[in-house]
Amino acid sequence: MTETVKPPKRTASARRAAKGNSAAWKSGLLALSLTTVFAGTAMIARLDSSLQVAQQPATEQPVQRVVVLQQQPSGEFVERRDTSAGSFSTFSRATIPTMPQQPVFRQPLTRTRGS
Amino acid sequence: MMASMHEVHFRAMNTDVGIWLWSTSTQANLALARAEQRFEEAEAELSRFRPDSGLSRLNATAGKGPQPVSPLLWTVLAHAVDAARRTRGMFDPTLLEVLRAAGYNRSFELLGSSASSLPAPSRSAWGWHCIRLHEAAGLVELPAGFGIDLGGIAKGWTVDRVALSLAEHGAVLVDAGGDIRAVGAPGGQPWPVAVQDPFDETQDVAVLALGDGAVATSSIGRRRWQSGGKTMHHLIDPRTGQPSDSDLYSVTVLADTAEEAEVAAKTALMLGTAAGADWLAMQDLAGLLIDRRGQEHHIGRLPIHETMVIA
Repeated sequence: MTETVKPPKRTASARRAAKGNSAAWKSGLLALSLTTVFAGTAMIARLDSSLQVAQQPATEQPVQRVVVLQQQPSGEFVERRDTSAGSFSTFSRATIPTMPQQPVFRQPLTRTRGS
Repeated sequence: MMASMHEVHFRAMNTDVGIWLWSTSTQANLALARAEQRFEEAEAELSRFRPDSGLSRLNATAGKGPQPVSPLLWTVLAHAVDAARRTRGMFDPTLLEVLRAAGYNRSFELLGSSASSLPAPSRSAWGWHCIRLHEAAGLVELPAGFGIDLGGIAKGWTVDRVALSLAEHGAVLVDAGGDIRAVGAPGGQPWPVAVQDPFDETQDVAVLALGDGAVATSSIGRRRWQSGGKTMHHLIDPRTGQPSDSDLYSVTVLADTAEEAEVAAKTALMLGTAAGADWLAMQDLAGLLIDRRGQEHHIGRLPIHETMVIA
């Protein structure tokens, strides 16, 4: 005679426990997905921001050093280092070479005359 | 290395030449010596007072068919014909026989205060449109009895050429007898150029702040001589073949090039105050016109120097 063995029936409490395990697993998966999405978004935003900085033209870089020029009674321009501009005019370093240090001419160089 | 002013002065084209070069280059003085050579080369080819110049040889062959000329002479002739066309003949390079007849037959340094005159040539002895430039062959043909005087335009052209050749070394100003061309600004500052009072050579009437550009003055107060009991001057009006008798005594013009300023100053002077002022305005040129009474007329925007003023 063949005897068929059936698996034992699970009790109600066992069924509830199994159901609870499944919900925890799903919550974990959801949390992991959300974390991945948030982390990815943050990383992309950071990368985008650093790219924008790199693409800014050099002239828009913040001035590293402020140079104050003060005109002396002799007419000469003297460079003065000062972090507070105060009432002086300020120029970025790049403008310095175009500033005349002193007048090149004090009188007419030559004259046009009839020919 | 700090920039400094290098300068050279010499005689060329029967006038005083001064060149100022604001440069850091160690080659500046060498470049100035080369500039002096360029003036000499131009004078040797373009002067009507040198019998062996290319221009004198061309004038000697008037009426003998097309003649070969050097590239330098060709270039300046082409500029002169173009200037004549632009001024509708008020600038005319074919007035040589008229000048000779009036007594201006040798360099002004040798002319003295008086000269013998010849009968005035007929009206058919000049006219810029009679110059034939055979461009493909590089030949020039003048009708018999014609002669070319490149005087002022040759000087202006040379001033421009020398200024541009020196510009690679720094800011430069070239002055040949008052025909002035500047390229660049030394230390970022314009070149202060005075305008001489045509009635008193010891005085000036203004100081200009010259940037990239040129200035030239034409005046009937210079290059004057007595001939046949009359006072003559070298500014011949092509409409009459006589020294200009317009109401203007002196005209100073600012332009992009010395050549253009020279031609425009001469043209405006012969046109007189009203027509000359209109013509300069049409050309979009600035000028200072001084009439025979000493009255000044400012045309366009003259760059008067802000800090250097006439006392």
